[in-house]
Amino acid sequence: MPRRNLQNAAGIIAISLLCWHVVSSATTHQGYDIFRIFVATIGQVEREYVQPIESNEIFQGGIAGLIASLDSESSYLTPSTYQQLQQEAEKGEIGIHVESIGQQRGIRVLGVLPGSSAEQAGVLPGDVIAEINDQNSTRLSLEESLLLIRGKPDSDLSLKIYRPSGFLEFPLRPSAISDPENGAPTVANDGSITISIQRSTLVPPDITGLDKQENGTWNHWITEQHNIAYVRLVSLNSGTSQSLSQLMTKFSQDSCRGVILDLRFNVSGSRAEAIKVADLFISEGELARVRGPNLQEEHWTALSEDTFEQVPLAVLTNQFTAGPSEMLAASLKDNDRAPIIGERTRGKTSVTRIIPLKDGNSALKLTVGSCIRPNGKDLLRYPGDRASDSWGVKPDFEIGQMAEVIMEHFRTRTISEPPTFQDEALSKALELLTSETEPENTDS
Amino acid sequence: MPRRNLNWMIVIATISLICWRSVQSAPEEHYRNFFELFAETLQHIDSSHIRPPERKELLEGALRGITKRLDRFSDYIPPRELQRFREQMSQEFGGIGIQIGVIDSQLTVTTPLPGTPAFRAGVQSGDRIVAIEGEPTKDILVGSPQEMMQEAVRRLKGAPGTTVNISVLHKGSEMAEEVDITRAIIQVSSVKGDRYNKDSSWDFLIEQDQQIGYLRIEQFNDKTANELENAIQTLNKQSIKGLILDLRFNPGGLLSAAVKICDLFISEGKIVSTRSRNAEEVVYSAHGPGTLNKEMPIVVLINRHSASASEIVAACLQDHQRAVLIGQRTWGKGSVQNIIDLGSGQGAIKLTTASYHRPSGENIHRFENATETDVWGVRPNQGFEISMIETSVREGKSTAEIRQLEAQASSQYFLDRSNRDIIPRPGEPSPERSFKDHQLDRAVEHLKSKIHPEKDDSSAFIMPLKNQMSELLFTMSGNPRTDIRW
Repeated sequence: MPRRNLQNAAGIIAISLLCWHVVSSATTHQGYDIFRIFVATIGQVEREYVQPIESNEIFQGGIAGLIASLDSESSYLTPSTYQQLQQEAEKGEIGIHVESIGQQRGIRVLGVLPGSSAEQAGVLPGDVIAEINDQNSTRLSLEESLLLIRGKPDSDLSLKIYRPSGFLEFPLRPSAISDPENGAPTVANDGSITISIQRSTLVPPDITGLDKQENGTWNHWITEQHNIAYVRLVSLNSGTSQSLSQLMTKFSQDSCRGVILDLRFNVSGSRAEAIKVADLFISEGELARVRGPNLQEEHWTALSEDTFEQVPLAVLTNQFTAGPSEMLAASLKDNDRAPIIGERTRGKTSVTRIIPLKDGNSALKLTVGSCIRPNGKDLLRYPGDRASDSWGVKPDFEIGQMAEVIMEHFRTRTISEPPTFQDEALSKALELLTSETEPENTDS
Repeated sequence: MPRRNLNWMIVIATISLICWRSVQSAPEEHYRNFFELFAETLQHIDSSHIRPPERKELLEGALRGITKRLDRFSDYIPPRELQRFREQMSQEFGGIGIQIGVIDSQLTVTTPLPGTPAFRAGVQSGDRIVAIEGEPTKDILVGSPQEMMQEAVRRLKGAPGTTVNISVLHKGSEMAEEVDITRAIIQVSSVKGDRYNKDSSWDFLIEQDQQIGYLRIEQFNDKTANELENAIQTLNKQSIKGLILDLRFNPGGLLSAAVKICDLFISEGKIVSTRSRNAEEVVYSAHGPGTLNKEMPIVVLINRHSASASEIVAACLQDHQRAVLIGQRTWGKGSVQNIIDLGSGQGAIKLTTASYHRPSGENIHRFENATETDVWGVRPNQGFEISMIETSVREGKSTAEIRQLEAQASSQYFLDRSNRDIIPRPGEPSPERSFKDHQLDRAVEHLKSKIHPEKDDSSAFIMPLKNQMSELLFTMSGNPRTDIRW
């Protein structure tokens, strides 16, 4: 056969193979069967829906729903959301952390930061946000909701809130808003409240104490003898461990006999910082691990230097202890460093990753891993997990108290008002630490 | 070039062409982009997600996501709910014919349904079901009352002709009785009267006045229009002079059923029309033959849970001045949904495809930002706006308080209904009414004044209540009813 023919034949074969590949990848790809139904549905909706709608819009909704069905942390970042996330974020915030309720069912408040406008307005952990500036949150991904909540400093944000536990005891207050005439909270017929909250650039503290002094600093001593200190870790942001280390040094100089670490409503921060804080109290042994099917396993061990290993500790947690703070609680518990008092933590320790898609515009945020505690158990609460499964950190001393009550406690302390309620978990921690220190006193 | 080579090249070229064509025949360019993005997404999930779910679950999520971009009445119906939906529409399923509830954490028969295998086997209201197929119900039914009932339903339902063994503890008895019941096709009626007769048929006469008929339509399903027609013919034999159609708490149903029912009462003119994006306006008109009780006064009872097909019937009879509407403004759902079966056991999509319009042309649909003063829903006739709670109780109360009171009244209404919608046990009297129904009383009062015109209907001059604002948060499927029929 002449060489030219051979080349022709080879060229044709190459084209054929390429074609074959495209067709076969489309028909034999394991996603094809469900894709067929998906696309047929998009076509039907495009043709028959009562109003004209773009197939692209329906397709994006479908992908968003598919990802949202994975778990409450995973979401589809549409081209416009992904683009906005890559730009510099707006500076105005109201001071809340939220989670997705899952399956595009809206968002729930997990944490309200001290001194923030949301705290002033009376927003509470557990509140469900149904609408953000009149946009229905069940049609938004978590990231889309977050983008709407942020905005220009001093601008107003309107939230429609449902409170599962009822409004009467802890009403929402009008916060500092630019237009108080229109900003008063309004109760709707369905039991929701719509409230206006002003965004600000205030940076909430990562660490607070028991009550705020007139000079703006925090008092940490819970006992008159100044031997038991109370530290609330609001978040685990970069620098928290350093500030805590300085505080601990100060406490030690004041002959401190015990420290209460309050991790309730601590829902944000970084794993690295949680590890650093754990390392302040633990001198050897494993602190935590991160594992995932397509993830390089990471694990952290305690370093022996700069450790406050002698100070007795007690840790407060509740169902709003979520994320890196759960790693911290788990490593302190599993290394027998501190008793846990309060409620089981949330089991919200997923490791997520943003994966850009080949279309160049959109991306997936996927849960690609989870945190493993020193005892080998997975901290993450997987979708469908029951109460009997092993997620989260269970307390050694179970004390449940309504989030409203504890938050009201925090709020009154911030404004130096006497608290109206007894903080039962705190009392228990104090009781444990004082009984621990007493024998030492008699020894000396 | 040798002939053999040429042959080869032709074969290869042909294959290439076929390949090329099959790639080209993919619907449109952007659908191919969709597929690439879709496949890539699945690939990432498979390789990186901590616990990738079944393909079927992912598809359900995607289909639900599609409907999230549409209006609030468009929805995805997963396969397990589709079956229930179909049975509800056809009013037929394979079972033994009892209505159940969970009372004191025990599976209890609220009532047998007339003429069913369970009824013939002597199962009575108030009986406890202590075992199904030999398994104690306290072991197999766990969770919330809702979950317990769902599981019970799953075990008791089945193909007609098959048999289920249950242990029944009759009320007042110490020993459970074991019975084998052969399942049959159970027919569920959607038109009910005020109470059962001793022979377990419905008594369609109102208790206070034997000249007034009372027809309670719970939903608009396949057989509803026929049932209604039969019930009216029964009533006509009892020579009634007035008729009440109760559409309160009726969430709607089939458009065709609503049209047929309107056609029973008006003889000409427009009943309703629908408009979709791609087709001409469809006008449903009344036909002369088959009109019933032309001169008889009719009252239609409505409340805020009367939606969709209920609103079509209420609006049509009001616009043709065929009935007086008493009660409260209706829900305000002026759209039509089609059920699109996706095949391959993937469930269905409920898709809003059209809007409907009453004869007067007034808007019914409550759009998302509608206020109380906008035109939506169907309003009672002037002077007939009556709440479930008394005016004196409402006075001085805030909207939220009234809302709460009305919610309480609704649950009392349903408690009363579930106590009285039972076939009384032999030898026992019919249960007493425990709910003061102001709206029904007003309807009876009005009809009496029409039947006996010498009496002055002074109440027609009562001023309408203003600012009727309360609203419970129910979706169409979230009817406050708690029992399940099977």
